Amino acid sequence: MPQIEVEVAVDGSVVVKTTGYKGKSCQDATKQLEAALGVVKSDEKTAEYYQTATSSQQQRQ
Amino acid sequence: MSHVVTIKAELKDLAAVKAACQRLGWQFCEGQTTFEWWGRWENDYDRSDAAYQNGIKPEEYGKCDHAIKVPGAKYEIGLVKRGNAYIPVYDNWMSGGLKGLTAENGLGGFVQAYGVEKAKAELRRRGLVAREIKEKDGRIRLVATAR
Repeated sequence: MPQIEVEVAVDGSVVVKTTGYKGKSCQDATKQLEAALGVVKSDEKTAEYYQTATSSQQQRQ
Repeated sequence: MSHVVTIKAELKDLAAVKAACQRLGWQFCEGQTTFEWWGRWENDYDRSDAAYQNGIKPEEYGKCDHAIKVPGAKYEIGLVKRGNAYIPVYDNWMSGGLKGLTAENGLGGFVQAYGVEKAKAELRRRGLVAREIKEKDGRIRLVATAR
């Protein structure tokens, strides 16, 4: 099931992480959240992101 | 002494600031335009976190747009508006009771509390309810499941 995780460090820095989204939909899911929080340190792309990206490329070839 | 400092934090959402204060048991004083400090600039503090090294002039010390009272502390935190964000400013001289608030501890957990409350509000706005998990190293994780 798609999940959004926000991690806030003691110094206030924020990391947004998504799991279970397919392809770039994870970026769409977190884009607005990241913009709203404004202090995002980094985000992590999950295995699902790369798996789907790879399969899309294969389909195009 | 006039050890007025600031930390690198841009607090853009006043509702989240209020929620962070409530979370920590601090008192948000909306519209309070002065904050308690030593009272006069003694030119006795010039480290990199000195407020005047970060865009707040000594003649502006003690002035703010909103203030925060920390229980047990004589001095207060001022929130000074710069652009569309508020910057926390305070005098960390030991007798004022705010010396323990540092950049490393996120102003005693205040900046972290702000981040958590802001994130929770943004997740709520998207119809998500977050489960809060506090890690041993102090990080707070919010886990929200999308529909």
